Amino acid sequence: MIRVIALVCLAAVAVSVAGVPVRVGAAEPGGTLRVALTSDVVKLDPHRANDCFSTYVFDEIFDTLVALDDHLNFVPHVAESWQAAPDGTVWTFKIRKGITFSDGSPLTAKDVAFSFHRILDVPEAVSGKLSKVNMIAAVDVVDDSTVRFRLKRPYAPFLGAARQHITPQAVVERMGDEAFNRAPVGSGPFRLRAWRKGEQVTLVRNDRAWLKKPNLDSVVFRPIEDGTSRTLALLAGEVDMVDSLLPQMIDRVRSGGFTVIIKPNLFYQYLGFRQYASPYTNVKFRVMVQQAIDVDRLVATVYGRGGTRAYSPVEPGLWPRDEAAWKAATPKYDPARAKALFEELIKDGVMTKDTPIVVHVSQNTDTQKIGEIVVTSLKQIGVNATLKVSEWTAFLDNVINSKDGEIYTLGTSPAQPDPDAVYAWLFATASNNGGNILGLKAVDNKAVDDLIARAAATTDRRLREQLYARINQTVIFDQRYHVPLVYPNQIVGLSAKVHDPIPMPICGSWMVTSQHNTWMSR
Amino acid sequence: MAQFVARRIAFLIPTVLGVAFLVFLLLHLVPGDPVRVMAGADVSERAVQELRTKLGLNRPLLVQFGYYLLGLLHGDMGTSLRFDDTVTSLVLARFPATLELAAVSLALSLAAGIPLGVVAAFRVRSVWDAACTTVSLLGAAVPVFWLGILLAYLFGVVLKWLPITGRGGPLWTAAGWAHIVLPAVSLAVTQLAFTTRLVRDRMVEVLGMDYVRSARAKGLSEARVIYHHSLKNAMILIVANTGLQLGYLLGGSVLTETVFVWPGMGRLAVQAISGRDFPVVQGVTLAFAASFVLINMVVDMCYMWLDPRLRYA
Repeated sequence: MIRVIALVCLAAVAVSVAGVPVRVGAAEPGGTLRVALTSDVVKLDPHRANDCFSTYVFDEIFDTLVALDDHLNFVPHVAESWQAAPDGTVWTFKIRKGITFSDGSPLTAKDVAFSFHRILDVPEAVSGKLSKVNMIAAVDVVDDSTVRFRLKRPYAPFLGAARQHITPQAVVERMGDEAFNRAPVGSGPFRLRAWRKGEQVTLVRNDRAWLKKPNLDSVVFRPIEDGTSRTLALLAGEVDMVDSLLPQMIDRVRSGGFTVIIKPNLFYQYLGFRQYASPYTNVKFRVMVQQAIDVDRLVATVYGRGGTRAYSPVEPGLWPRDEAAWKAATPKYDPARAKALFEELIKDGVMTKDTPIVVHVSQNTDTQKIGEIVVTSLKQIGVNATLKVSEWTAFLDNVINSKDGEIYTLGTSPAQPDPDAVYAWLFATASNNGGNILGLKAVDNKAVDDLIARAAATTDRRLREQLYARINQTVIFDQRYHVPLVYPNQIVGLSAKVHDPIPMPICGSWMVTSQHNTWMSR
Repeated sequence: MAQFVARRIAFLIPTVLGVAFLVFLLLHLVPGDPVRVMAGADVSERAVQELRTKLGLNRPLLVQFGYYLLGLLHGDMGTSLRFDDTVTSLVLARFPATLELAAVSLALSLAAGIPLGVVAAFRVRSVWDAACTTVSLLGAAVPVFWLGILLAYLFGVVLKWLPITGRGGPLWTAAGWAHIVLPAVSLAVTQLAFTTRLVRDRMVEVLGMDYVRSARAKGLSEARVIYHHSLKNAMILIVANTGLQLGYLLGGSVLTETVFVWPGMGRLAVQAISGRDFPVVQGVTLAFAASFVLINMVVDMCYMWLDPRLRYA
């Protein structure tokens, strides 16, 4: 009998494309979903903060002009359609009719233009989002349901920039920024019920939601900073969903009848060579370092199931990816070969046996372990390597402003699911990361800069794919500016009562989309 | 007495000023550029400069300190960089929770520690004494967060008797009590150990005094000897210890509050540090330091009340 029930249960469980278990059957409306986040929600005004945890709440209260589906494709949302002029500098969006904000006022093209101006017209540090939309030269309200963006330059990944939250002009102007942050009004599936800063945000269903009627009555977000406490809160049934579990807790949580989803998180951790001094500027030196490190073991040791080995900066879920080719082009761990390269470098006069090699990491359990493994690996082939650990503030200051040649490790997440956000941020001389941190302003990087600009200027996806493949070949396999290390996973814990949630591989978690509508069983 | 209090309050001012200066320096002693960290790596250098100007960090150090002091005199500890609120309102919103937790822990540790210490002292070198000593040693040795996690796992996950996260409400409600039990117990255990040791040692000493022998010789009951003659004399040291304990409990709340997601100042400090919200870090540190100084003053006044000799000194 038990076996029969088990079989029936199994049959009733299907696994969706995103890897999230979905129970086939009618959703039960009602209930409260309690979510524990790693850090606190700092603002409720989407144009006044840019952190991951506030974005969880922005996404529930507000709608974005365009949205992403499960596969990170841009799909219509507030905009029902859009059109780019052939030269890529003018983008026109048709606004869906009949959307109202939770106070009953209609959402029009004016609100859309107003929302972008709230980012464009204030000092950069106020929103933290200017760099995402600074290609916009002007926003025109053509009529009530048409908005036109004129850009400073052709920009193919503009849909990523257009994915901004829409706030009601009349309400914001009436209340002022400060009051609006305390009592925001949006058109999303939920609206604010209560906010105890640093403690809890409570949302309730927005009865005017236009996309579909949300199944959940309410959603509660609570910060639980400590990883162990977060896990215990899930096990004790005090929360239903945890945004990030410690990798060592996975088995314990699963054995308790909970669901654990392990998935790549659009995050890339790498070892970089700052291009300010020899021997860091030498390609052979960089190959030597790569061959001295057993990256597979490093990933297994430091991350366990919390990470997947990386061969390129393009995270799983993004394009263009050619994992097999990348893997083949990556030099194998070979300490003997690394030692031979070291001797060649000495013979060539690039460095001596005693040249101090600095591995600089920020003070954090994972990065310090990475640093220790790299230093030990280098010492094993005879290199005079030392580890330098700095508190995060000092680390960031040093890598942005100093001109020290060194090896460092950093992690990064693309601001938008588009390869431009990956390569322009990491390898363009004009970006803080490429120019200052990696130090490409100290070397000739014109070829890469040109390729990045060309790839951003064309809307032809096939051509863009080819261009990004060439950029990847240059920076990773010809120049070897990075030793790609790992894509850390997001480990989400869920109570068995939660159905159809969508923990996205970018900041934010959407309860109600065109494909999903999270619900709770009683 | 009035003169003493006035003198102590006068002493308070330079102490708090000194603390304020140290706390103020915090922001400037941090290695690297805190403004850059606040702004984030993907913000341009110009924006970082704008932020620096907005925060007034481009002015000379002493001028900045002057403005900071001026603000403090008005009860203004600056504005949080992450939340739009003033630091004063954030600290005031969190202070009651911390005080509540510290007070309940203190009450627990005294209520259990004094009888345990008396029992141990009364039966010196007995099994009771050994048991009390061992328990108190263990209590002092156990790390607070480890004990907290263990209690949360046992009573929250395995037995499901008590809630393990957050504050349930005012203490006069059942939910309020249920939520405070585990954090208060885990915070009280270390203090309990100290109290037990202290009471035991002091009582052993007092019980060996001549006047205790006289009291017994008069034929007083053992209960009267202990409560009226011995414990009262041992009390002075315990009061002093209690004051220090309260200070320790306020500080020790950082770990306990983090483990049990208690919305107090300790957790506010942790949130502010990880969010690099320096004005809040300054504010919380100042509030902790000021309450420590105040508690010490109150302890001194209690001394005087308990020991008349000090009043005429």
